[in-house]
Amino acid sequence: MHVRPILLPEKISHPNVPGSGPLLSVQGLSKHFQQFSSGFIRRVQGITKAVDNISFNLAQGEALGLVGESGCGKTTTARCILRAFAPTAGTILFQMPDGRRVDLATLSKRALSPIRQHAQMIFQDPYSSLNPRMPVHDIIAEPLIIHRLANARERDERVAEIMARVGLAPDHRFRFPHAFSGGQRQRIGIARALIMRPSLLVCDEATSALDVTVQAQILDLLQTLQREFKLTYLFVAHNLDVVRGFCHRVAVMRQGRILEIAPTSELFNAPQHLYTKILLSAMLSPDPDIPMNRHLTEQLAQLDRLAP
Amino acid sequence: MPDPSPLSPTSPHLRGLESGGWSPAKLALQRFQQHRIAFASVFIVAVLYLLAAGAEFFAPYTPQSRDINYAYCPPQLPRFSIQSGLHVLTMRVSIDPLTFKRTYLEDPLQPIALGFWVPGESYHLGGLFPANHHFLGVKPRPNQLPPTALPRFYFLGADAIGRDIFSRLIAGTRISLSIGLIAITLTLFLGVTIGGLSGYFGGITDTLIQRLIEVVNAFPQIPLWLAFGAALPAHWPPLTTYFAITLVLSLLSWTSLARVVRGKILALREEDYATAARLLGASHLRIFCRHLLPGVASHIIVVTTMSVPAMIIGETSLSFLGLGLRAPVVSWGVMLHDCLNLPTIVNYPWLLMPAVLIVLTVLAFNFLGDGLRDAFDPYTAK
Amino acid sequence: MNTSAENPLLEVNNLRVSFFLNEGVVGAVQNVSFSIDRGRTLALVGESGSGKSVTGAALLRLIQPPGQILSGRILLRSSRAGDIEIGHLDEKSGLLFKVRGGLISMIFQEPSAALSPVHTVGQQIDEAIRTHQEVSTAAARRLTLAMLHRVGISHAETLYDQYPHELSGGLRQRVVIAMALVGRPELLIADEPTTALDVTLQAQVLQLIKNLQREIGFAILLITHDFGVVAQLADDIAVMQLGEIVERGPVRLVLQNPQHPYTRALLDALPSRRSLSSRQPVALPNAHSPNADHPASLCT
Repeated sequence: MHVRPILLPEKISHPNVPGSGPLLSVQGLSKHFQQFSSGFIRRVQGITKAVDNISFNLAQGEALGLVGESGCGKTTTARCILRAFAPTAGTILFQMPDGRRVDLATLSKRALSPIRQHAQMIFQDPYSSLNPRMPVHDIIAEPLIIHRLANARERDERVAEIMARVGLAPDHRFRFPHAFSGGQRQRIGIARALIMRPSLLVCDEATSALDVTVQAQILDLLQTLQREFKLTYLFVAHNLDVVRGFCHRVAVMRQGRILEIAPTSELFNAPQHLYTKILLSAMLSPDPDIPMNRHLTEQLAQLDRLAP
Repeated sequence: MPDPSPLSPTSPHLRGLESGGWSPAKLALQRFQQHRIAFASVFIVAVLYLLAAGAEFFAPYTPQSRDINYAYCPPQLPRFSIQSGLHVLTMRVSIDPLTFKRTYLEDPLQPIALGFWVPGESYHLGGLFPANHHFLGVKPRPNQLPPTALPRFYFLGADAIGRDIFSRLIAGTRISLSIGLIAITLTLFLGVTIGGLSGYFGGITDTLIQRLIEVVNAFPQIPLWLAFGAALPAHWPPLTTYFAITLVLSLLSWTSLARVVRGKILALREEDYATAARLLGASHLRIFCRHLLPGVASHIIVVTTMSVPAMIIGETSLSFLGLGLRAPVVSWGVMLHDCLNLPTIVNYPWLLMPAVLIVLTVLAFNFLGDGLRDAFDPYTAK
Repeated sequence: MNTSAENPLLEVNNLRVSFFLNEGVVGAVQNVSFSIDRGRTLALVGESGSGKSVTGAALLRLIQPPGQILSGRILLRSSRAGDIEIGHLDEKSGLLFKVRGGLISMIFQEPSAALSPVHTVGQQIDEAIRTHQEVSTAAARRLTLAMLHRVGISHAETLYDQYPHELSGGLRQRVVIAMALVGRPELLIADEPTTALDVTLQAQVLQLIKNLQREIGFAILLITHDFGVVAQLADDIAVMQLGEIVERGPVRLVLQNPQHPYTRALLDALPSRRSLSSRQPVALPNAHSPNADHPASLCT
């Protein structure tokens, strides 16, 4: 059986150590969505706090898991960090490869564009994340074209190189996405994100739409690439099992807040927050001898009483 | 460890499918070819546009060529015999001295031989190249009179002043079909730009544009046409009128395309690949043109194809009512303008030939659009 | 599979389903045979494209063109309606109508797809009852309310008049289950019943299905890719790969000692098997002094 040791990066840099701050430092991040009334004149009716004042650091070379149930704000957090949404409040300090620190939360769209080379995203749905009308070569080469990073010949070389690197046959580069399986499509998405050699990779449920065997292959690939390209991952997932084998630290989110953040083994072996315990107990074991938690309903009710 | 075969990414029972490397467009083409009526419609439309392009050559006569002696001559059916080859029979006319009603009778003893690629009235092909050969015409006999003095023939009959309906139909094809194309190009531009802006930016832009569309749609079409038509000065040259008409047609018909484009862009904008492009740093223009527009292309093609008939009918209706193009310009609508009263239709039904052609054209375009929709969107069509 | 000596509830023999696409013929289900005993649960497990959902749909004759059932025997030994050869029923026969939603009902992955957005929960369940049973409106309402109570909905009277979009995902799935069970089916086909749900809801819904099965006694054909769900709910398992059943047997035996390399590969790929530590039982903290166990964390 394939057993994966929990690898800690050789050195998790600490914000206090001068010269090597965290790659990403999120402070007091909030994202509120306004709800509008229907009709011609749309009035603000209420505010949904999708992300509510969260803070965490992400060290160079680390993989941080962000877990929670649907609607807990984990995906919104991920998308705020890459500025798919503009955050309502907070700072997102990102360390550029040249040592500069920029606040992604407040940068203008124009200033943001060059930084996109260094922070990229891998999406959940391998079907909707690739343009069905573009051949794979164009999909993977697009970042190079947008940022004018290479001429046509270099582009072809780099596309072939990255395709081989993520386990795709470069011969297939003129095929269209519909000719690939889900796992292969996810590899195309990874190649597109990696071709600019980013330092931060946000994986938004990157493996949850895949079959287990494919999921294992993609996780293996991501782990190999992490070592090779010195990548830092923010790994958003709802499946605790996936996070357990992949991440160095895990943050548990509920109702827009981070309830608990701890090194993976600590979180799984000695969870502190009741919600973390409930989540862990709700996971179904593939071993028929480990029964499922029969008291979930009461426990969840208790949780709501404690933190309304 | 498991042997690798159970995990191979391509399912063996899917092997042998050859579509792997095909582009979505190629797959669509393959599906389109299976839609037989649509595929046949392509040929009909192609023939019509070919006729329009070479109208002067394909028509036996120029549209204004006339012979008053043959006013309201009924159609002369083409016949074939070994002796005279392809021919029609000469029409003998007798005029009732009381009512002046003209009666035509075919004279079986006097065939008029017809031939292909024969010299006839001279013309300028496309207004540029002088020529005098026609695709079909009366075959000149050796040492015969000059071609102008040859007997005339009327496949589809003649109108009130003895002009050949068949030739005029072909000549009218050019105006009627091209007005559809030009108007649709303009509509396409307006619809895609306005609808695209509306869907892409959403919010207040979207709201304003949608309200504008509702206002435009709220105008009753025919009175508006009447108003526009009446506003066109009668002294304008035919070409100016022609472009004014296309403008009128497009200004009223971009709304439905804009709605389609807007709805589709609105949906595609939320696709992950659009977000991915945004996160890669792509500009609005790039996201719109490279990622979103190709996704709408199939819808645009279908809506466009389906709208061409509406344009053709629009021109026809305007001209029929006497508000669009006017003689001496020849279009199907202008020709139908001759059948405004009932006695004419009862006595000379062949004047209605343009209507037959319009029905044929409209059906062909609709089937074409239908086939294209099935080809691009095989799952929602049925 | 360990079928009891008597007649199993459902017997499927040599089922073959193919899809005739423009691009070629796809043999989605190839010579699949299995049987389900009364009150038992058979899990059909496999990856996407393995043909497990197509098999489930074939049992109700729900295969639409370009798909086609090529051959196979589907025998339902109903205690209410006798033996029914589902594969041979006419498409418009009353018996097939009786089978669908009456003797065999189905729940899907996406609960909202099974509910009409323009009718209230009560109307929909009432209708499900009245299509298969001749009862008065009042009686249907009583049955509906009873069934809603039974699936763990305490405020059934309020819910009766609500529309599906007003409900949470978990409640909706409960409503779907209630609707599937009002016809008193002898077999429930559950196609990925909890895949769309969050982990906490998933466990609760599975517990509900398990309890209802014990009380009512229907058999379940569980279609899933999740071995966790299989381990908790199923008695027997059949592993499908590329349209064929490659391994079958009692759940405990197959999961703990898989024989076929594909089954082993699937189990080895499970993230929980790939990571080190074992699972921790959760201790329910004292309800009166909840903060005693973890005073700091709850307040953050």
